[in-house]
Amino acid sequence: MRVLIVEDFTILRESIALGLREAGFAVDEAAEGETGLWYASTNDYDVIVLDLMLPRIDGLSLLKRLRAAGKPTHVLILTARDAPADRVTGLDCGADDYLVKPFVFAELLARVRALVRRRYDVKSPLIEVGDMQIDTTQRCVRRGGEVVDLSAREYALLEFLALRAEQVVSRTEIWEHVYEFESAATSNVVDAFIRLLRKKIERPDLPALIHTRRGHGYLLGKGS
Amino acid sequence: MRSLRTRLSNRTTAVLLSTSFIAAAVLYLLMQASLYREFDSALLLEARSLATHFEQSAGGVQIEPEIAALPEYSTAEHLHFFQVRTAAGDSPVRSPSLSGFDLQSPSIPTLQPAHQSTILPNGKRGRSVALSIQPRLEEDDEEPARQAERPHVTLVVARDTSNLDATLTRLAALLILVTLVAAVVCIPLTGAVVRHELMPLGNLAHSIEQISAADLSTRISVADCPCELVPVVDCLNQLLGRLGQALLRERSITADVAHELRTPLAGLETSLEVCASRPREANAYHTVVANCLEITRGMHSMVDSLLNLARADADQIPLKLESTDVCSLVRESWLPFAEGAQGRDLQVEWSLDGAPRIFIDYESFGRIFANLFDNAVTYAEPGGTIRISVNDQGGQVAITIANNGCLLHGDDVSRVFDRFWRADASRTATGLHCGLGLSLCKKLVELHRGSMTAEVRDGWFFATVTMPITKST
Repeated sequence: MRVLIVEDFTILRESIALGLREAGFAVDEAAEGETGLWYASTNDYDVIVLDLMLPRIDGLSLLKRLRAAGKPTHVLILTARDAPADRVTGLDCGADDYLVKPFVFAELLARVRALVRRRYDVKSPLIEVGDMQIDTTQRCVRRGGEVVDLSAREYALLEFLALRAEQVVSRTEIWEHVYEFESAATSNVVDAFIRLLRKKIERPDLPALIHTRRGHGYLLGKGS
Repeated sequence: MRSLRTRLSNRTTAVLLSTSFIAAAVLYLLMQASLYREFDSALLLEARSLATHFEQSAGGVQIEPEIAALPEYSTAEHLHFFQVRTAAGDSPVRSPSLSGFDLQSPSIPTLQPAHQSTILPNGKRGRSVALSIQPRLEEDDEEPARQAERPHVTLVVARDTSNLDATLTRLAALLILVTLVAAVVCIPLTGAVVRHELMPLGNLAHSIEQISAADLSTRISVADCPCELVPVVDCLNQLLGRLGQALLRERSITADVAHELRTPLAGLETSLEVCASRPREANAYHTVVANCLEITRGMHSMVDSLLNLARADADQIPLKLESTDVCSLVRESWLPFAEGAQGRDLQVEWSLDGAPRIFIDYESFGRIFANLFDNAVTYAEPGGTIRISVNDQGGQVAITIANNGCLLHGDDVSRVFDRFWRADASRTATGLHCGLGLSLCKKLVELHRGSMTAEVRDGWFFATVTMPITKST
């Protein structure tokens, strides 16, 4: 899942980015409002973590312009302003969640995960596709009762496919949601990762779960 | 200390009671004097009419026997007495009622009637009057020359005052009774009146009680206040106003401090939490420690600034005034910033007149210049210019530190000395530029009785410190 962090305090931004990456998210960073708005407008992020007091364009203006442009990305406001009026203004400007600094990182992570679930209209952190269970909180995958050992990238790819189970997902979508803006990943890399994922997930004794739709992309599910 | 109400009630009652007792006593004495005067004049009238009944014969002074036989003079019970005394001291005539006793009379005979209180032969109290009379001669036809030679005798007439005394006793009893009744009625009545009249004080106390510490915007109304309480209420309202402002300032500062500390705290907490979430290589730990140290230093600097501001506000910064060469202090203060300025490619233009020495606290002014240089180096545009000048303006020294690349507007300039105010929300150097530096500088300059101004002109920001040149500030 791809997340954008717009925060001007470098140390905080880098720490959040590291934490999110280690939790399997693809993370882009912007240090001021203008870059943040450009990133947010040109990419399809799953969640944007937005500070309010930003140089050049402040967080609320960024949010309003994003919404005015019709971007439905889920936005979590992360700010030092804790007055109820500020929370109301933030949410009314189109934010989906509001977290006050200082915060516990685990809570930020949980809220980001919740926003991701909301985006794909999934209520439970446990996703079931056929005989495969994906626990998005523990980041643990089981197939036919056995635990499947995946790398962070493989897991991210599988989770994205699982969130859109039984739907065809294009290479571009995968590339946009699983890889960071600054990484050199291309759609070929996507194919390579799909191959790796297949090796770990598919078993000869069980029905195939990852299906290729030529010219369209991939599908996770029964594939009927 | 007893309550005002009790004290007022007690004192008022005491004053009222003593006044009524004194008034009763005076009334009694006046009545007594008046009754005695009336009694005395009746007695004198009696004496004068009695005097006409005495005559001088060869045998001495005599009274007409029918007068002496009158019932009021004949027995002690009738309580009327008279006696005649000659100059020689003997008493030729006395009323039968005296039964041979003497009436007291003045030792020296007087021409004027002499009244006095006396004890009568029957042992009762009475009043007497002594009158000098010349009894007429027995022979009416005596020539006037002989009439004139008639000897003077003293006639003393006395009358029992039992009735009068009884009246006076009744009067005294009546007065005491009236006063006592007045006292009994007066004590609770005074209490009630005082309580009623002190109600505005109670109301005031109630109004004050209603004011909560959380909301000091309430004011006590003077509309229903007695005029004596108006100055008190005015003072209280003014005090409330000052308290309210102080509280508001305090709250806003506290909120600002909390707000300013949230972001660096979030940085610290997240860095440490993410770092601790899994084992890492030594390099990663080094980076996190360095980052946390940087944040901590920023917070330290902010707390220092706040503490200095609080001390300056409370006039608790001890100023050690010394004769100082401003130019060399400015040069010296610049040294730590020279490297940073070079790093940002900044040109520094110096214009230092030979300004006279001024009396300032070296440390405080070092801090002021360090703040101003820090701002100039941080906010000048890359490759820009910083101008540092010291001018002797005759009577005062102006130290100006200016940098170009200023993005401030005219409105912003009036706010640069506000605490926690920053032109840009940017926190690229969180804590180091938390918007406290210029307020601290201004406060410190003002403690030196100097002034500090800020100005924006053609993209240049000017911070000017003006210090009066005095023997000792």
